[in-house]
Amino acid sequence: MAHQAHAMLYSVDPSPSPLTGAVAALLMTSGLAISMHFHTTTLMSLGLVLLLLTMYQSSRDIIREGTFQGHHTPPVQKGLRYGMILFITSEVFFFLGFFSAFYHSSLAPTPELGGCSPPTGITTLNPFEVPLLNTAVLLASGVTVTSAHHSIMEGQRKQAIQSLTLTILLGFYFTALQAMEYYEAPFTIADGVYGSTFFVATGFHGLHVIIGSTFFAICLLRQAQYHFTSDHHFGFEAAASYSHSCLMSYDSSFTSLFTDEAS
Amino acid sequence: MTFFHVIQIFSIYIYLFVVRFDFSHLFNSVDHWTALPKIPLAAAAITFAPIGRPYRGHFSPARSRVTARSLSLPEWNRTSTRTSMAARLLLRTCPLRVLQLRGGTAARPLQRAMASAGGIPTDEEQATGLERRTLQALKQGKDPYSILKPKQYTGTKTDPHIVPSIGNKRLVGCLCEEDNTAIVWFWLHEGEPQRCPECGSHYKLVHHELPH
Repeated sequence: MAHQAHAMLYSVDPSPSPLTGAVAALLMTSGLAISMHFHTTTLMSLGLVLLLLTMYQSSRDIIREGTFQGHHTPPVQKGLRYGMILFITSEVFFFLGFFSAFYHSSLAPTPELGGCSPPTGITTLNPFEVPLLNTAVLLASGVTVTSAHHSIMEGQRKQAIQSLTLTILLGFYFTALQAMEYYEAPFTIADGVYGSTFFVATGFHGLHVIIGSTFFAICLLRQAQYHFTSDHHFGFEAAASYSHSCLMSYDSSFTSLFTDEAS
Repeated sequence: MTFFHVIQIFSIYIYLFVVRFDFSHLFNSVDHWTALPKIPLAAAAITFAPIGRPYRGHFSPARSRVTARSLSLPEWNRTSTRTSMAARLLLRTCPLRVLQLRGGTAARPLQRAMASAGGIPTDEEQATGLERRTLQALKQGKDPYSILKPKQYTGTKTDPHIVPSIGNKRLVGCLCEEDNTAIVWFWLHEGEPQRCPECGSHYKLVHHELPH
């Protein structure tokens, strides 16, 4: 008797997450504008809560489909890999925009800036102090991520959990150091084009580090609950690829934004 | 990650905080919360690093059972061979009573018995659903879900294209020549091999079952 043939790919069941995510984005962006004009953060907070709920529910659904129901066959995994690579590529181009903005203004500085770069009146940060430490922290987290990955592949649970925890701690350490740098910086985002490009680029980068740490935290919870197998742990690989791309963008911003002369 | 690896990672920290002394500007805002010591976590990491020593023995359920005996300090009881300074500090500061299990509950083994013995399951143990069926079938050399590229046949009468099907007919689209833009579609029924109406290659329906 003929029976239903399951394809190697699967169609996802209907989900409210695209709608709630879109509504969350609307509420957050319009709420941000409202907060600037009317001094109330209600709308933005509502959007943020909805965003967090969407993140929680959609990732829970994906984990249920992949880990508990077994829908993530090898072709499906391949598709997920392609998706992550494309997304990371889009993030790279996102950062390239900010770097081009910086170079556009610094390679040919206008008379309004004093005809020099960094502009007149800006005391830049010494790149060999906290920025170098931040670079070291991110590089160390790259080492611990690789250690965690190899531990997972070789089936070593304890080492994997320890390396993953250390990675997350290093991410938090970077965020704390960057927050301290922001507080102590001698210039602000309002200080001409230098301040604008510096804080927008490093600010978005810091946000991406926070996102990476959150992703790893989810991976740590999943690893502790035995979700990952030694061959199939794409969630972890996606988090690792994302963090590595974050690290690369910090390395490039270190050489461009932080040095005293525009190269 | 051995102690040596930790030193490697934190060598930049050592350069910054030992070679370059002048960090006074970091401590300007003494009255603010940012005056928390900016000593890197290397100190803590070096303290806890020995936990990450590679374990060259093997885990067994009996040894990993949490009992009052195994929680005592290592110098009193040699059942535990891997302790770090941090673990010893914990055992010294917290009374043993606090760390024991309440009531008479049986202790779960700390380490699940995994085939890999490291604690992380393999696909063989844990894959489920469609993924499991796919992996099991591929291991046996079968491809019921058409994941791999189809085998090439010459399409002659003696070597027809084999078309697997779970029913008694299947749609076939024949791309008679490479780069053709028009595909020739026809139903292939079980029984005698049929020929493509355009190029004449032979196709034969073969029944195959999906794994349940």
